[in-house]
Amino acid sequence: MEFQPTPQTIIFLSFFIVIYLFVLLRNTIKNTIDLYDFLLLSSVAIIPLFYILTPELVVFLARLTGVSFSFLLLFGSLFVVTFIYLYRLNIKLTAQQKKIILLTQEVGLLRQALTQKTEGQEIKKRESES
Amino acid sequence: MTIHSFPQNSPRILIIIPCYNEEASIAGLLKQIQEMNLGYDTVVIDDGSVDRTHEMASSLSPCIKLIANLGIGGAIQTGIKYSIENDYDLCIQVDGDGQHPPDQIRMLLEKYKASSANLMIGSRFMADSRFRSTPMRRIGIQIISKTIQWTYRQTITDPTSGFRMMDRKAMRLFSTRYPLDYPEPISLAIAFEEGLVVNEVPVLMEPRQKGISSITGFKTVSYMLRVVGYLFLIRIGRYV
Repeated sequence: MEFQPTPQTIIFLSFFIVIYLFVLLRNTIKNTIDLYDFLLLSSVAIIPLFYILTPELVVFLARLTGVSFSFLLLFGSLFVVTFIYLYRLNIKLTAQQKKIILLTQEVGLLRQALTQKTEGQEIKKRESES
Repeated sequence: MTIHSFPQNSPRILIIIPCYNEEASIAGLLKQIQEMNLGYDTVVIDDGSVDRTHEMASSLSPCIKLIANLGIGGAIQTGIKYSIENDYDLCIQVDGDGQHPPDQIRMLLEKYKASSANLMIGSRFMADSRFRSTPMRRIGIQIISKTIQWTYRQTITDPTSGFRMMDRKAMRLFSTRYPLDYPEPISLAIAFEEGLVVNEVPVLMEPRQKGISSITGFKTVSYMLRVVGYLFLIRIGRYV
């Protein structure tokens, strides 16, 4: 059950965390990602960070949850975050789809109303001329 | 039983014709309706066709061109919104592929006037119909029909029929809530949930004049499963 990250693991993860968080932060500042999504996506870096900084806590949590191999806890947490993110994406996509449908219908209806109005005006114009 | 009545006994009726790439049949259908001189207005919903459907239809009837293909549900809902905006009493959905003979419209209206229905469906299976479909389809329709009977205690012989008439109450409901995919059977469940009265009338339908159906082979099974799933979902929706 003992878990102690090796120097290689620490270097590799630190490298990944710094670059990943930098890219995320830059995109959030540019408004490409919203703040809530930034928090969810950054957990991919923050969760492994716990493994480096507090290995004792990870071992404790693994014992608490009855997980024999502490890295399973890491992957499990990442899966949960991924599914929360997917759930949010699904809701956003459905909302966007509804908006697109509504807009498409409104554009069609407005164009038709405009055509009818124009045709009506032309008829009136012709009648007044004759 | 409520018997529907209108001022001067002449309701304003709109025929909604959704179509997608129906340049070969749409003009013929519109001319057929005009020649019958029923006094009903028509609106064609061109669901993002890439052929000359809009051109052909707009010379004979108002035609709403959707800038993207929304599917049959989105197209029908556009027509329903149009009929509400233009203050129609009733609207009738007729397919643009020529399967629904316009001379059968009168059957829907007559039955509607003598009933309390908000939604009147033209059924292919109540009368000795010229309509023939594949055994797979018929089984699928039977399963959907039985599911409706089981979940809503209502007998609908042709839940997938796209030949239907709706009144203002049904129009108001469907203008805000109408399924995009497989709208006919699923909209029935929505109608039952909202307390609408649905009736059927036997009609004769023709085989498709041009083009091929989008629901063939494995899609029939997929269609049936999705519809049955949605029927149950809508039913349990009241408890969730």
